[in-house]
Amino acid sequence: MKAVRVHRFDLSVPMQEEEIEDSVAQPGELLIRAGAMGVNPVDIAIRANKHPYAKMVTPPYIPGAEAAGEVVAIGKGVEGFQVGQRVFGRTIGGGYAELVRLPADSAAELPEAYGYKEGAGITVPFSTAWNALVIKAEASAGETVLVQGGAGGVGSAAIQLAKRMGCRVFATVSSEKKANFCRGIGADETINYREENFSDRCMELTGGRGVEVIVELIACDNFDKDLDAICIDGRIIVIGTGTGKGPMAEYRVPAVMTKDARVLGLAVVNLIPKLGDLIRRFTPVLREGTLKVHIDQALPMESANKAHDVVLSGEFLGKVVLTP
Amino acid sequence: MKVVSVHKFGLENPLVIEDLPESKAQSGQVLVRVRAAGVNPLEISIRSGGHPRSMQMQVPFVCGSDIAGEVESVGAGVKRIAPGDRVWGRSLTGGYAEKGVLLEVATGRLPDSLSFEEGACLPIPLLTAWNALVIKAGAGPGETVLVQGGAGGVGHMAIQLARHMGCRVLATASSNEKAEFCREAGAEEVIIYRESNVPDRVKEMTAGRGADVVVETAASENLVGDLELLALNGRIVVVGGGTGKGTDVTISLRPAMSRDAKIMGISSANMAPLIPRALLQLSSLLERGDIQPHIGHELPLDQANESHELVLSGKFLGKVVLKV
Repeated sequence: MKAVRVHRFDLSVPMQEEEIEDSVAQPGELLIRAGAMGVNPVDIAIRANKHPYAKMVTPPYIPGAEAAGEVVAIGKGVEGFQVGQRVFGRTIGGGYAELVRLPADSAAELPEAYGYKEGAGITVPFSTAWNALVIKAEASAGETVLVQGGAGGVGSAAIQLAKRMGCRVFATVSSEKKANFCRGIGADETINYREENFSDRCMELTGGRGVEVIVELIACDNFDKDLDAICIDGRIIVIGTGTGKGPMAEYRVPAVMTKDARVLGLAVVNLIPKLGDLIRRFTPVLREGTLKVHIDQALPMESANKAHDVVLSGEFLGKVVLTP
Repeated sequence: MKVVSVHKFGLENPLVIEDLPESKAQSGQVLVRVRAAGVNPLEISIRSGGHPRSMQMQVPFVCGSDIAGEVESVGAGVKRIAPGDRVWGRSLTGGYAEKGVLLEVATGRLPDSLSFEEGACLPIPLLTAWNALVIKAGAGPGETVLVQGGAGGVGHMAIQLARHMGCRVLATASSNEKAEFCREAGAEEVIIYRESNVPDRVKEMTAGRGADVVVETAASENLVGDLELLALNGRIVVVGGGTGKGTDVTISLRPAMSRDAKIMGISSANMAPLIPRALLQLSSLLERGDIQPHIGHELPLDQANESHELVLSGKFLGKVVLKV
C-alpha cells in the first residue's frame, strides 16, 4: 500500500510517500480503504517531537489520527460492522495511508449526509470538543462558552456542539474571514484578538459577569487573560498549547482562587476508555445532519508536507484532509 | 385590587373573587401590574387541602403564583429591575390578582417576542423543567429523555428544553392530538400510553438500552414502569404524582439497583435559592426563541373556578392562563 511516513522527528525533514507492506486488521480492529485522512495539529507536534505522544512512535512511522473509508476487512471479535460499510474513526498505526486500521470500539458508521472527506474530520475535532464541553466542563444550556481559536478543526466543532447544547457561544479569531466563518457555524459573537482585548470584550458581552466555560486551544498565549474573562465557578478546559507553542503558561494563583475557577486538562489517550459511551451519545446528534465539517483543503497524500505547512500556518478554516 | 382567593380547603368550595388592599414592594422586591396569571396543577392541589403545602397556608389566601406583567414600582435596593420592565415570575403574594410581588433576584425578563399571556406560562413549568433536566438529571447531548405527560405545562417545556440541550426526546401522551402537539414541540417519538406498553416501546426505540432520563409528571401511575425502561445509570426525576392522583406507589427495588438508578424528587420550594442562576441561563434561551409556550385556553380572572375544572379535566394542550 502507499503510505506517508515520518523518517525523523524534525519538521525540516520532509515526510516521504512510499510503498510499504499492506496493513492487516488485528483482533478488535477494522481495516478500511481510506477515502480521506484527517490532518491535525497533534500530527505536527508529534513529528516535531514536541508532544508527549512522540514517545509512542519510532520513525519511520505513519502519522495521522483519524480517517474515513470503506471497511475491507474485519478483525477477530468485532461485532456490528460489515465489509463495504462506510465508517470513520480513530486510527491505530497511523492514518496517512491507503489502508488504515481503526479500533472497532471507537469507529462508527458514517451517516449518509457526510462524505469521506468530512468523515475524516469528525473524530478528533468532535470527540475533543465533546470531551471538553460534555465530559469535563459539563456545560449546560444557557451558559456562555468562549472558544479560543474558533476557526480550526476542534474550534469549529466546539462552537457547533456548544450551540447544539443550548449554550451562548463566543469565539476568538485572528481575521474577519475567520470571524465570518465562526458566525456561519453558529457563534453568537466573535472577537478578533488581534484588535481587541478578549477578556474585556467577554466581560462587556456578559454584563460584567464573565463566561462560564472557556475551551482553550491556545493556552500558552491566553491562559493568563482567561482568568480575567471567566466568571465565578467557571471552567477552563485546556485542549492545546497553540500549534507550535508552549509548553509554559502564566498561572496567577489568586485569580484562580478568587473565581473558584476550575482548570481542566484533557488528553485523547485518557478519553479512550470513554469512547464507546461518547460514540453512543454523539451518534444521534451527528445523525441529525446539522453539524458541519468544513473542508478547507483536500490534498492528495503525496502533498502531506504541504498539508502540514498549511496547518502550521493557521491560514485555513475548519479542516485540512488528505486523499489517497 | 381584585384577587381570587381560597377561603376554604376542598375543591367543592369555589374560589372567591374579592377586593384586597394593594401589596407593596418591600426591600429587594418589585411590584408588578399583573397582565396574565398561569394556572398550575400545584395550586389546585394546594386548594384541595391534600398537598403538604396546604398545611403551611392559612385561609383565606390568594390562589396561584405564576404571573407576567409590567413592573409598577420597586423596593429599596432594587437595581436590576425598573418600573415599566416586562417581567415574569412567581408572586410571593399569590398569582390570581391584579398586582403581584416578585423578589428581584427571582424576576425574569420577558423578551419582546413573548406576550404577557405566554410569559405567565413560564414560571412553574419552565423552572420545573429546568430543575429536572439541568439541575437534577444533568442531562447531556445525545442522551434519551422520556417526558411522561408531554402535553401538559411542565411536559411541554421539558420537551423543548431537552431538545435544545441536544437530547433525543421521547414523550407519552393520552391522545393523538396531544401526541402531535408533543411532536411539534420537538419529541422524536410519542407513545400513546392508553394504547401501548410504554416500557416495551421505549426499549424498542432505544435498541433495548432504555431511557437515560425520565421526567415524570405522573409518578403514582408510572414509576414502576419507569424503572423497567431506564438505562444503566439512568435518572428519574419525580416532578409530580399526577394531577388529581394519589401520592403513594409501591416499587420493586431490583430494577433500581441493577441499573444504578437515581430517583430524584423536586419541589419548587426547595428550588428558590437556585432560581437566580437558572434565570440567568434561561434568559439566553428565551431571547433566542428556543422556548415557545403554548396557551391552550385563556380565561378572564373571574373564571378562575372554570380554569381549575379545565386543568383537572386534562382536556387542553400546554397551559391554561387567566387574563388580568
